[in-house]
Amino acid sequence: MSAYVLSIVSLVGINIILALGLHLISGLCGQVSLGHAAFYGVGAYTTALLAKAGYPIGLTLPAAMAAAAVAGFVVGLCSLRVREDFLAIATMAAGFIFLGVVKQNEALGGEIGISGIAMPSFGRDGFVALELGVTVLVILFCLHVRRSWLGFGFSAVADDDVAAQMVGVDNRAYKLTAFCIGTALAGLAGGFLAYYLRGVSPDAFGFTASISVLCMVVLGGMQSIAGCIIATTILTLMPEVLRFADNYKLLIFGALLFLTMRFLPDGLGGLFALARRKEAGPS
Amino acid sequence: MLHVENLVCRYGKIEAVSGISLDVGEGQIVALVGANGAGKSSTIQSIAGHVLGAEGRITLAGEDITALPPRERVRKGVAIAPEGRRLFRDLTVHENLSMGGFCRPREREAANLKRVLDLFPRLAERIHSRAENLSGGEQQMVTIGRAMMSEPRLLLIDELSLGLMPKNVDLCYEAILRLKREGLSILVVEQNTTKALQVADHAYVLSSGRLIWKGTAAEARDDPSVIQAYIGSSAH
Repeated sequence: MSAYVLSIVSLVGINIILALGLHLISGLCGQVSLGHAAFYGVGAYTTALLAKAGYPIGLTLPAAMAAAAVAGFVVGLCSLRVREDFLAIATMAAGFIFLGVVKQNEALGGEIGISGIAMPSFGRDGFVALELGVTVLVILFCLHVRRSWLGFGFSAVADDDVAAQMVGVDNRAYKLTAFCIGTALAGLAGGFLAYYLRGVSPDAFGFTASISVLCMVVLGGMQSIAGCIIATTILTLMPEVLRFADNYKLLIFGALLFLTMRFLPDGLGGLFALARRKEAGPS
Repeated sequence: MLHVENLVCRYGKIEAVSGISLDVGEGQIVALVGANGAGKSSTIQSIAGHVLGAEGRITLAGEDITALPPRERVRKGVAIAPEGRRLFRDLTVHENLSMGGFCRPREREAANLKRVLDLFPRLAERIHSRAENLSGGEQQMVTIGRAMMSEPRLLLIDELSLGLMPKNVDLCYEAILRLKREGLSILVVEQNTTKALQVADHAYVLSSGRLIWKGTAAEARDDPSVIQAYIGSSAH
């Protein structure tokens, strides 16, 4: 496989991990987040700093997840106080705060970021294999969560948090858990990105990145893991296949969000469900 | 089973419930009746733990549950079928019922589900339907069934007959009579006073957040003027 193809496959894997993190928070647990890229950034910067200090990937990635989860916990605390559009604004603000802190901090490379991160000792092919293996594990984990009691609780909170409380769900704990797991996955994706790019820069974690990942989740269908994976793959490959589209990324993502909300509110996952129902026949 | 003492609930400066005390004995049905805004729903929501800052003392089978959060009250055996039903609209009947047993071990789910489907055989036919596609009567059955999945000792039902066809009202009341025979304690909030008094053992009448009459349901049934005098045209 050529280096180019490996690179694209690797990027698809990173974006799938990132999007599944948001899928857990917004899709499964119903907590709107417009600042997901901030946690992606926390993971990337944590990895970059530790990798530059000579720590191995076996330590940098878990540290990236932990740092992002802690940040997610703090933002998740907001979700206990605010709902829906207010939560969206609060998470968006978290994204801006992250950018503000990073850009003003020389220890984090300021506007330029951090470069010169060494590839892990097992080389590029080994890194891609590791990353794809982890992506598969993350997909399996998300499928497991969805079918577990935890996922059941997330769904209840997303559907009607008052009713969830009435059947004994601890809303606070479930919302915080969703934020912690989802942001830890964003941190993991950020960690892989730091190795993939051999560096990090703040612009990769701005509002545009948050909207891009939101677009992947919404187009895939807020309730569908398969839809999320397919949409992420399509949207990651799109700029590669349609080179000219890269310059119009924001325009295309915005239009996609609008069109999905207008004509396909359940996203690709909704289409799959409809196809399954048609196949099963009238009930 | 349930003892409520001097319950007060406020929403801001408005006092919705002013010092109500009531009891529900083991295996009894108690009706809480009154006109709109009398404080019935606030009372039942306070017992379930959903009103922040409610004052007074609530004990369940002698145990003080006043300070417990809603989920702990569910674990202790307090279940609620709320006004407006509040089903999980995107989930199926089966999933809604499973959700009701959230705080119970999963291995008991099958037995509890069987019990609910015995109570409401209609739900077995609709088990894979999404809650939002059910009729009002079916939704009320799911709401009661969901509450039953948590293996309650005390079932709180808010506006059991609201918006239901008479046939479905009868079905739901038959179900709660059966639950009473099985030993469950039930506190039912109703505006349909006549129906509630037909099945209740005791009744409490609320008006403007105050308890204005209490007695056996038979007393009220034998002398409908008792209820009519207090809640007038809303008694039907």
